[in-house]
Amino acid sequence: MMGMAENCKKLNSDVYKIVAHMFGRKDQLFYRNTISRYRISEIDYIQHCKDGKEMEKIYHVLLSGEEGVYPHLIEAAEERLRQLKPKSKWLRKTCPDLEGWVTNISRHNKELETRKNDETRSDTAVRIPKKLEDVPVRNREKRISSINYSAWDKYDPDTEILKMELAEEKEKMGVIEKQKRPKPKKSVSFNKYPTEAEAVYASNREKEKGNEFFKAGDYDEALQCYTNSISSKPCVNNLNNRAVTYLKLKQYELALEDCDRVLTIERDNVKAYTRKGEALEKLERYQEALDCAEFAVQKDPNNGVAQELAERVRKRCENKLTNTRMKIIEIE
Amino acid sequence: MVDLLQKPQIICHTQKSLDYAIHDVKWIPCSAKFIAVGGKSNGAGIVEIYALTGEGVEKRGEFCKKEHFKCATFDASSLRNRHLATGDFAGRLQVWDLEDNLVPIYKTTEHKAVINAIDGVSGAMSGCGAPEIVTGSRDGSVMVWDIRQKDTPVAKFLATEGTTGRDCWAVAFGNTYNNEERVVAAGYDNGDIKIFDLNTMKVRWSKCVKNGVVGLQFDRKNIPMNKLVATTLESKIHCFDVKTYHPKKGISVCNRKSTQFDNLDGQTLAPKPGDIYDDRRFRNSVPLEICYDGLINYPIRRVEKDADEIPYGVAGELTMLQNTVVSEQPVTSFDWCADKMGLSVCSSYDQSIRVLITTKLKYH
Repeated sequence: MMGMAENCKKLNSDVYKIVAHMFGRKDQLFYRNTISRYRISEIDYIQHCKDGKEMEKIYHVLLSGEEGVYPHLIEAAEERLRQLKPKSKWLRKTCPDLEGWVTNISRHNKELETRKNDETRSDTAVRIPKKLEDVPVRNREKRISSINYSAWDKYDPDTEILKMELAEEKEKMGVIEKQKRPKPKKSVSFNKYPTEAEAVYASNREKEKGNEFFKAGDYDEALQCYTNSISSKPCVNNLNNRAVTYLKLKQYELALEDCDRVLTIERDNVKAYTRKGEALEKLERYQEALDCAEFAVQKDPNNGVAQELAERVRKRCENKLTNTRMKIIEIE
Repeated sequence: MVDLLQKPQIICHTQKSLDYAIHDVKWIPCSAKFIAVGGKSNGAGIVEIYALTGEGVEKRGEFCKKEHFKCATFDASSLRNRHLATGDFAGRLQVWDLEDNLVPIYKTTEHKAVINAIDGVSGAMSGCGAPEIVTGSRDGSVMVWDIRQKDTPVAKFLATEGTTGRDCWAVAFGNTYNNEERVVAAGYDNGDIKIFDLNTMKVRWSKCVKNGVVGLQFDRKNIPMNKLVATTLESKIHCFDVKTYHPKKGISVCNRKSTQFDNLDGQTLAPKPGDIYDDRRFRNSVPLEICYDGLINYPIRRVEKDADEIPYGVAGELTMLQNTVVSEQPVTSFDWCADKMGLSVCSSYDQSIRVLITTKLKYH
C-alpha cells in the first residue's frame, strides 16, 4: 500500500488513478508495467488511445466519479470514444430529459402529498350483488338415441329445420338491433380537480387516449378525448392535436380557433402555424395561409408539410395576382 | 413496417439488488417512485418504496407484514390518496395507506388460498363508475370488491357447483366507458379465458386457449372494450379483437408464438396503456429472459360485414418491436410508468429490480 501511495504522489496523474482502478490494484508487477505504459500526459494518452474497449473502460471510470471528477478528461474521453467506437453503449444518451421529468413530477407529487385526502368518494353507488346467470348451453335438448324408433317416428325433419331457421333469424335480428341502439352518453365531467397535479394527470391521460384513437382513425372519439383533455387543462399539445383532428373532420373554423389559442400560449409554434395555414387554405383565405406557411418554413426549413403547403398556396395567390393584373393591362 | 432507424431500444437504466423474493412492482401514480412487494426468507411479507433520483434509485421506506405479498395495484385509488391494494399468500386482500401502514384501511379474508392476481379500476386513470378491485385466487374464485362495503364482495364468480375450481392466474377490468358498463376478464390454469359482464351478471364470452393463461390485459380500461391480450404458457400471445362479436364467427384473434424458446415455465404480461405490450418469458432449465414488445397493426378495415350484413372483426397482426435480455434470471413482474412514456420497472428471480428505458416508442 505504501508503494502505491508513493507512486501516486510521484506521478500525480489522473490517468494513473484511472488505470489503478481499472486493474483492481491486485498485481504489483502488472501495476508497475501499466504505470510505465501510461507515463504520458493524461489528455495526451486519451487522445492517442487506439483501443476502443480500453477507451470505454476509461470513460466509464471517469463517469463513475470514483476516482474524482475531471470534466476536461471526461470531455476528451467522450470525444475520443466517439471517434473510436461511435456505437459504444456508454455513448447512448438513454433518456436525456429524465432528470427534468423527475423534478417536474416530484413537484406534482409534493402537491398531492400536502393535499392528501383519505376519503374514497364516488358518484356511483356500491354495486348490488347479483347471482351469476347460468351459461347458455347450446344443445340442451336431449338427443334421440339411434335405436329409439318410436321417437324417430314422431320426428319431422321439416319442422325441425324450420325451427332452426327461425332461431337463427332471431339471433341475427338481435345482433342488428343491438347495432341500432344508440350508445349511452358518457356522464363524466372533467373540470373539477382540486389540485393542479390531478388536472395535469387527467389531461395527459386523455390526450394519450386521444392520440391512440387518432392513430386508429377514429377521429370523432379522438375529438372527444382531446376536448376532455383541454377542459381539464389546456396546453399547447392537446390544442394542437385537437386542431389537426378538426382538420381531419373538415371543421376548419374550429381548427383555426384552436391554432390561435396555441399561438396565444406559444407565439412561434411551428405546428400551429402549419395547421393554421392548412385551415386557411381550405377556407380559401390564401394570402393569410401563405403568411402562416412561410413563417413555418422560416422557423423550420426542413418542415416538408409546411413547404408543400407554401408552394400550393403560393400558386393560388399567383393565380389571383395574374388575374387582377390582366384586368389592368386590358386598358391599353 | 418498423423503420430500422426508429427501432426502439430497451436499456437498463439502474439495477438494484434486494434481499427478498420480489413478486410485484408498481409505479406510484403521478410520482417518480415505485413500490416493490414480496416476501422474505423468514416468511414475512414486505413492501418497499423506492424513488428514482438523478443517479439511480433510493429507498424511501418499507414495512413488513405476516404473509408474503403476491400482487399489488394502485388502480382503484384516487390520486389524492394513492392507497395500495395488495393480495397475499393467505388469500387476504388489504388496502394500505403507504404513510400510515400500521393497520390496513380495508381487509378481507374471503379467499381461501393465495391471491394470484389483482386489478383495480376507476381510480386515477378513469373517471367513471365506482372504484372497484378484482382478485383472482388459487381457490378458483374471482371476486370484485368495493372498499366502501365491508366484508362481502360486490360480485363473485365461482366454479359451477360440484366441480373443483381451476386456479385463477390472471384478472383484468375493461369496458369501463360509462357508469354502468364494466367487464372482468379472468384467465385460468387450464387455458380458459372468461369475460364476465358485471352490468348484466352474465358470462359474455369464454374461450379455451389450451395453455395456462398467465397474463390478461385490455389495451385500455376506460374505453369500450377493444383488444384483449392474453399470454399463456409455452410462450404464446393471443390478441383478441373484442370490439366486434359475430354470433357464429365469434371473436377474431391473432396469435404469435416465439420460436426461439420452447420449454417455457411461466410468463407475465404488462401493457403500456395503448398498443404496446411487454411480456417476459422464461425457461426452466436455463433461466433466460427476453423483453418483448408486440405492436398491433390494425388492418385497413377493422370491421367487415358478412353476407347477412352482420359485422365481424378482422384481427390485425402483431409485430415484434424489440427483444432484449435484461437479466440472467427470469423476470417476475413488470410495470410501465403511466406518467413517462418508455419508463418501466421490472423485478426478476435474481432478487433485483431494474429500471428500464425504452426509447422511440412514440413512433409506434
